[in-house]
Amino acid sequence: MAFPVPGSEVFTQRGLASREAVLAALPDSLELHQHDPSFDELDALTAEVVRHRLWATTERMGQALNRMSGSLVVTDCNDIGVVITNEIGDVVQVGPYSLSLATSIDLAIRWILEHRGPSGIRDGDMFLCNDPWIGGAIHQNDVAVIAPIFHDGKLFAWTASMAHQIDLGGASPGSWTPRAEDVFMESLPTPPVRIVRNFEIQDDVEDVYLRRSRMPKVVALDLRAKIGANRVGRERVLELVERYGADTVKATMARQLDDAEAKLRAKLALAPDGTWTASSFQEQSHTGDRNLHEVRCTLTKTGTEMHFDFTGTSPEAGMINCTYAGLHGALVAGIIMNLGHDIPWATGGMWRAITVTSEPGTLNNADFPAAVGKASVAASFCTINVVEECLSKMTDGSEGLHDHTTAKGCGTWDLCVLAGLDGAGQPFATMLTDAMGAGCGAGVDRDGTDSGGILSIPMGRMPDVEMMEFSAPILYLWRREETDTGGAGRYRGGVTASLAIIPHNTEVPMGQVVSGSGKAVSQNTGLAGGYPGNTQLDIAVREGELARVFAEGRIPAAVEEMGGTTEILSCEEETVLGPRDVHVMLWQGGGGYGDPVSRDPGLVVHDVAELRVSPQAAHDIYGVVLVDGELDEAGTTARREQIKNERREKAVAAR
Amino acid sequence: MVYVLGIDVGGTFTDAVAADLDGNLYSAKAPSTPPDFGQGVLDSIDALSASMGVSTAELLGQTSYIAHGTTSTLNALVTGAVATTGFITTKGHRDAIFIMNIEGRYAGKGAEEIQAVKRTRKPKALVPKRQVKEAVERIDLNGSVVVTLDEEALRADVRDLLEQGVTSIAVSLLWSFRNPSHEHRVREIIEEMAPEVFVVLSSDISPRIREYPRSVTTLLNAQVGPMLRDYLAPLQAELENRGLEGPLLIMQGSGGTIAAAEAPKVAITTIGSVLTGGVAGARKLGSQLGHENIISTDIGGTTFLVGMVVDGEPVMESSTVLDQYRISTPMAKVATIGSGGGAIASLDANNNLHVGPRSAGAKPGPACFGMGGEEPTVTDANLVLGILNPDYFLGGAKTLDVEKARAAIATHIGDPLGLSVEDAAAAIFEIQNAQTADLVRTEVVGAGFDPRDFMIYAFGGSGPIHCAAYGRDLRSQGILVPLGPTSSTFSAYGLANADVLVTAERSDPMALPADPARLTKHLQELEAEVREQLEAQGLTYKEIRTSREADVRYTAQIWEVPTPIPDGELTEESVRGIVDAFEDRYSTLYGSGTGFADAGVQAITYRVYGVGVLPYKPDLPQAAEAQSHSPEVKTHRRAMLDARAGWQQVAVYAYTALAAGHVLEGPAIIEAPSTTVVVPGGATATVDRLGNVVITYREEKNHGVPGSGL
Amino acid sequence: MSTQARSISSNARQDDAGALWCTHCQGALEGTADDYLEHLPAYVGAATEGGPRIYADASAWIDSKVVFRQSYCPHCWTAFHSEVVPA
Repeated sequence: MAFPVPGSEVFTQRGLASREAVLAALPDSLELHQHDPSFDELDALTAEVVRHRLWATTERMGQALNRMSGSLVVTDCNDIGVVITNEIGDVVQVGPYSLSLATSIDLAIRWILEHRGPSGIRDGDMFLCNDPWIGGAIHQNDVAVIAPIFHDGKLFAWTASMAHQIDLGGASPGSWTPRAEDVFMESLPTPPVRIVRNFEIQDDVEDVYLRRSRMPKVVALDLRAKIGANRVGRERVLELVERYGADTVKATMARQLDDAEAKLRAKLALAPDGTWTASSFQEQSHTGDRNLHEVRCTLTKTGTEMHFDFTGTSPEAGMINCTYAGLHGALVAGIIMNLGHDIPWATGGMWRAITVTSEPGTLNNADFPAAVGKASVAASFCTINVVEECLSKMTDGSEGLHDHTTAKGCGTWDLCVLAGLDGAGQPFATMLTDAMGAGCGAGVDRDGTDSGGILSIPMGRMPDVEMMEFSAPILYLWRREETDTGGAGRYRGGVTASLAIIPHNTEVPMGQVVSGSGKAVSQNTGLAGGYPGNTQLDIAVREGELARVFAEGRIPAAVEEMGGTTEILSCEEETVLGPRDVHVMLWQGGGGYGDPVSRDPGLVVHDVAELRVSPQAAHDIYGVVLVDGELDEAGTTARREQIKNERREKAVAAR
Repeated sequence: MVYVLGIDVGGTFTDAVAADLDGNLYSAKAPSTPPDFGQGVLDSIDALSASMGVSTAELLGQTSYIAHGTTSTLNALVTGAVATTGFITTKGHRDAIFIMNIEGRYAGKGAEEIQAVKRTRKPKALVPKRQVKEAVERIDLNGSVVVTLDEEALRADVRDLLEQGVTSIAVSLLWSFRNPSHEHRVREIIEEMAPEVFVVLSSDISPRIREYPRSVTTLLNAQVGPMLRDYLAPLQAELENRGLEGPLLIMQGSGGTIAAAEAPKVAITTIGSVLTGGVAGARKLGSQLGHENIISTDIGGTTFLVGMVVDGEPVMESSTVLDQYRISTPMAKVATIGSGGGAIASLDANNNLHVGPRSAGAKPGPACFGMGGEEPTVTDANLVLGILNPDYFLGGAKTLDVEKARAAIATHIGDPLGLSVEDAAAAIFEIQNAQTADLVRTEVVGAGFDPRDFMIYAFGGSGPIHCAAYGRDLRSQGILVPLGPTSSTFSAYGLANADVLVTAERSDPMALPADPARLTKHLQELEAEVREQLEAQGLTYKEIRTSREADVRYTAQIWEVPTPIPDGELTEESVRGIVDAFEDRYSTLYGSGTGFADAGVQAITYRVYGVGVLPYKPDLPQAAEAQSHSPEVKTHRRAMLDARAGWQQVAVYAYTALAAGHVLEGPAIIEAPSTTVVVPGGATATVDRLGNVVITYREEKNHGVPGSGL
Repeated sequence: MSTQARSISSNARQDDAGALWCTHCQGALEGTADDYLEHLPAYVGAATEGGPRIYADASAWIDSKVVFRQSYCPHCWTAFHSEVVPA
C-alpha cells in the first residue's frame, strides 16, 4: 500500500515556479543569458526566420530520434517528445510528437535548475530523468534526456528528447504492472542525473540505468538516439546564435512565448464566458478491482483566461494514477489540439492564460509513492479527454470558434505487451502498437477520420503487420476496420480497427500484460447529440483449433470460427498467451457530432457501402432505410418521423 | 543516326531539345495540349525541325532515340482518370490500404498543416471497398505456406470484380516477396478468366517488406499502367508514322529512362518523370565541368524543387509520398515545396510575416502581372527591390506593373507593420531566401551530407534571383546558373542525356555478418534480373553498369540506411566491410557515437541498380571567348540585393553581351532572356567556357560549430 | 427573439435578456445557458442503445450499472445530448 514517504517531498513538483523564484534559487556560479526587454532590434523578418528555424529544428530532432531508435513504439508510433526551451525551461517550441510528454519538460528543467544548480550545470552536460513526480516523464517508461545549451559561458537554452522505452524493469514485462500497489512494484523512477558530462556518456551512470531493464540493448540504443537528437538541437540553436546573435535569438524566443499567449487570449476573447464540465472514467484501478474511477474537470472561462478545476476527481487508486506532471502535460496538450492549430506551440506562453486547481492525492495528482506506471494512458489520458471535451463545449457555443469543435476521439490505449522466447529460443518483448489506429472524433462540418490515430500524438503511426510479425513470433489473423465503431451523428465519428493474433513458430507460452479501459463506459464521447464511439474489448480464445482450421483451408474472421473457449479479459491483467491461444483486441472509434437523425441520408448510404455503418444501424439510429443498397427516400422519411415519435413517447420530463 | 531528342512536357509548354554529333544543340517550345499531351509533343517536334530548317520526317528519320518526360502518370493520379481497378490481398488485411498505418493522415504535409492536427484528413480512398477482395491464403515471414490458396473462392471474387467492370487488377499478398507462388497463381487464374485484364503483382513491382506501401505501389501501378499504355502506344505509332526510326524512351522518377513498350508495366516509376529532368541535366553538366556534388535547385512560378547529385550520381530515396500515400519505388530524391516566385506574402493575426505556401499560381499571378492578382508575391517584392526590370521580364515578353506591386505590398504588409514599401519588400525577399535555405539544408543534411561540399545549380525563372543568398547561407562551394543555349529548356536537355536505369530488389532480413554465399546469391540473381530488364528494352548500350546496395540497420531499428555493397563474390571480409560502411554512414547521418554495435546489425532489403549507358551524350557547346576582361555595363539602377547592404547603385549587364571569361563584381544584376541573376556585393560572377554564370564569395570561411563533438 | 442572439451551442441560442430557444425549431427552452440541458426531457435506456458496438454487460468489469442517456428538444425532438455513462 502507498504510505507516505518522508524525504520524497523534494522530488514532487506541483506547478511551475516563477522566473523570480528560479533566479533566487540559483548559485552565483551559474550565469543565465536572459532576454532584455529593452532589446528592440528584433525586426519582423529576423523573428520569422528564427521562428521558422526553431520549428524545423524540432522536426529534425524528432526525425533523428526516430531514425536512430530501436523500439517500435518510437519508430513506428512516434511516442516521443522533442522540445526547445529558454534558459529557465519555458517551452518555446514543441515538436509534433507526444504532446503531453513534451510539454511536461518545463517542470523537470525547473527542478534541475533548483536542485542541480548548486552542484553545477555545465556545458556538455546532459541529464537523464524518468521521474514522473519531477516531470519530463508521465510514467517511468518515458525517459527524457535534457541538455543545457551554453553560449559564451552563459546558460542560453535547453533542448530535450524523450521517448517511451519498451522495458525499464519492475514486476511485469513492459514495466506495466496491473497488480502494482505502489511505485515500488514498478520501474524505478530516476530523478535528473548527469548521463553525459563534458559531451561524454558516463558509463557508470549508464550501467545504473540499463541494469534495471529486461531489454538493455534496445534501451542503450535509444539512449544514444536521444543524445544524438539533443545534439542536433544544440547545434542548430548555436548556429542561429552565431548567425543572428544571442540577444536576437533570445528576443525571438520571448516573442514566440508572447505570441502564443496573445493568440490564445485573442481566441478566448471570442468565446462566451461560462462554465463547462466533463468527466472521463477508468474501470478497474488494478487487477481485482471492480470500481469506476473518475477524472472530472470544470472549465471556467472569464475574459481571456481559463481556469481548470479538477475538484471532484476520485482519490488515487491502484496503478491508474498520474502525477501532477501528467495533469500539466495533458492539460496543455488538450489546448494545443483544440485551439493551437494557428498558435505557436510555445506552451510557456500559453500557461500565462491558464490556472489550475487540483487536490493532491487524487487520480491525476497522485502523491508519492502511488503506482503511476500506466499514467500516460490512464489518468493523464483521462485528463486530455476532459480538457478536450470542456474546450469543445466552449467552442460549440462560440460563433467565432465554432469550427474548433470536435467530439472526442478514442479516449484510451489498448495495451498488449508480450514477452517470451521466439522459435530460435531467443528472448523477445514487444508491445502491440496497432491501437494507435483509433478513430477520430467528428467535427462540426466533417466526419472523424477513420482509423486516423490518437491525436495527442499528431504524428503517431502504426507498424505494418509484416514488421510486427518480423519483430515477434506472432501471426495476424486480421487487422481491419470495424463497422459501427464510429459514434453516430450528423457527422460520424471515425471508425476504429481490431486485430487477432496467434503465437507462430514458437511452442513456449508467452507472458502477457493486457491493460485498457473504456470497456464498460465510453470515453470517446459524442457532442451536441452525437453518440459515443464503441467500447473497447479484449478477448482471449483459449486452446483454439487454428491448426485444424488452417489445414481445412480457412482463415477465421470471427471468434466463433476459432474453436476453443472465449474469455473476456479484464481492464488490468497479467496472463499467459498459450501456443494455441488467440488474442483479439478492438480499440476505440471516435464520437459523433449532432443528432444522427439529421445526417444527410446520402452519406449514410455511402457509409453502408464502405462498411462503416451496418444497414441495421442505418435503420435504427440514423433512420435511413436502404433497399438493395440504394436509398429508400419515403422509407427514410417515415422512419425518421417514427424515431422522433418514439423519443416523444419514451422520454420523461426533466427531474 | 545523327540526333538525340529530349522532350519535356510541362503544365504550360512542351520543350524539345535536339543534339547532333557535332555538338550543336537546338531547342524549341510548343504549347502543351491537355488532356492529350501527345499532340503537344508532336507539335514541339515540328517546331524543333522548323527551327533547324529540316522537315520533321528528316529529323525523326535521323533520330537515334527520343527521351520523353511525361506528366501522363502523375496527371492520371491527380485527376483520378485512372483505370477501374480491383485489388486482391490476403484475407483479414483488406483494410491496410485504408488504415494507411495512420500516417496517411499527415504524410507529405508541411509543418503548418500537421500542426492543425484536428484538421488533418486522410485522402480519398484509392478504390471503394467493394473492389477489394480477400484471397484465402497465408504465407509467413519465412515464406512457408500457412494456408493454401483457395482457388475456387478466388475465381468467384475475380468474377465479381469483372462484373464490376474492372480493367486492371492489383495483387498484393502478405510476405509475397518471400514466396511469390500464391501471387503467381492468382495471376494465372486471372489470365485464364480474363486475358485482357492488366495485372500487377506486388512481388514484381515492389518485392519489399511492409505491406502498406507495397500494396499502394502495386495498386497505383495497376491504376495508371493502362493509362500510360493508352497514351504511349498511339504516340509511338504516330512518331513512327512520321518517320521515327529509333526507340521512344520514357523518363522515370529514378532519373533513368525505360522503353515506351516496357513502361506501362512499371508505370508508377514514371510519376517523377518531369521532376527529375533538372537533376539529370545538372548531373550531365556537372560531369562536363568536373562537379561531382551538386545541389540542383529549380524555382519556378509555383514550386521549388531540390535534388542532389553526389559523386556524379543522383541521390535516390527508396520511397516517396504522393497525395499522402506512401509509394515504395526507388526514385531520385526531389523535394517539392510550394514556394516559387508566385508565393504569397501575408501577415497572421499577430502581424508575423509569412511567405507561402499559398501561391498566386499562373492565374491571377503576382500583382505586377496586372492579371487581377491583389496579394503581394515574392515576384512583386523582387520588382520593388529593383531586381527585376519591368521592361525586360522573360526577355521583354511581359511588362510588369511596379505600381501594382507597390500597392499590394503596402496594403497587405507595409502599412499594417508600419514599414515602408521598400522595407516590407526586403523582408519578403529575405524570408524567401531563408526558407529556401532551410528547405535545402533539411534535404541535404537530412540525407547525411554537408552543403559545404556542394556546388549549387540554380535554374527555373526565379532560382537565379535567390540563389546567391541561399548559396551563401549554406556556405556552398559556389553557385552556378546554367545559361547556355538550353537555359530555358534545361530539363529537356537533361532528358536527352539520361541513361536507361532499371532496379531490382528483394527483402530477406538477416543478421550481419551473414553467410557471404547467401548474400552473393541474392545479389547475383538481382543482377541477372536487371540485365534481363535492360535487354528487354531493345536498345544498344555502350556499356552496362550495375551497383549494389542493402538497407542496413541496428537490430530492432525500424528505419534502415542504404549501404553500398562491393561487386563480385562476397567474402567474410567484404561482408564485414558492409557493416563498417553502414557504421560510417550512420555516424555521418547522426553523429559519431550515436551508433551502438552491441545491438547487432541487420540487412533487410537488397537492391541492384542497372544502368544501360546510351552511346551518345550531347555535351553543351563552348561559348564564345571574351575579347576583353571587363564586360560592358548595360546600365545602372538602384536596387537592394541584400538586406544588410541596403539599397545600392547596381551595375546591370545584358547576358547576351557576356562571353566566356568575363568576370564581374557584385553588386550587379545580369539580365538574361529567361531569367535574372542577382550578384550581391562581396560576390564575384564569372562566365565559364560554356556560358554559365558562376557566383563565388570572396571572403566566406567555413565556420564549424565549436564544442559540438560528442 | 432579439437580433442580438448568440450561440450557446450548435443546438441552442440565447438573446440579451437570457431567453433560450432551439436552433432547429426555434421552440423556447427552459433554464440558463449553463444548465438548460438539465431541463430537457430525457430518456434512459440500455447501454447498447448508444450503438451496436457498446458492450452490453458492464458487470464483466465493474459493479456499477451503465446506461444510455439522451435528452431532447421538447418541441422538435432533436437529440441535444447522447451519452453512455454510469447510472
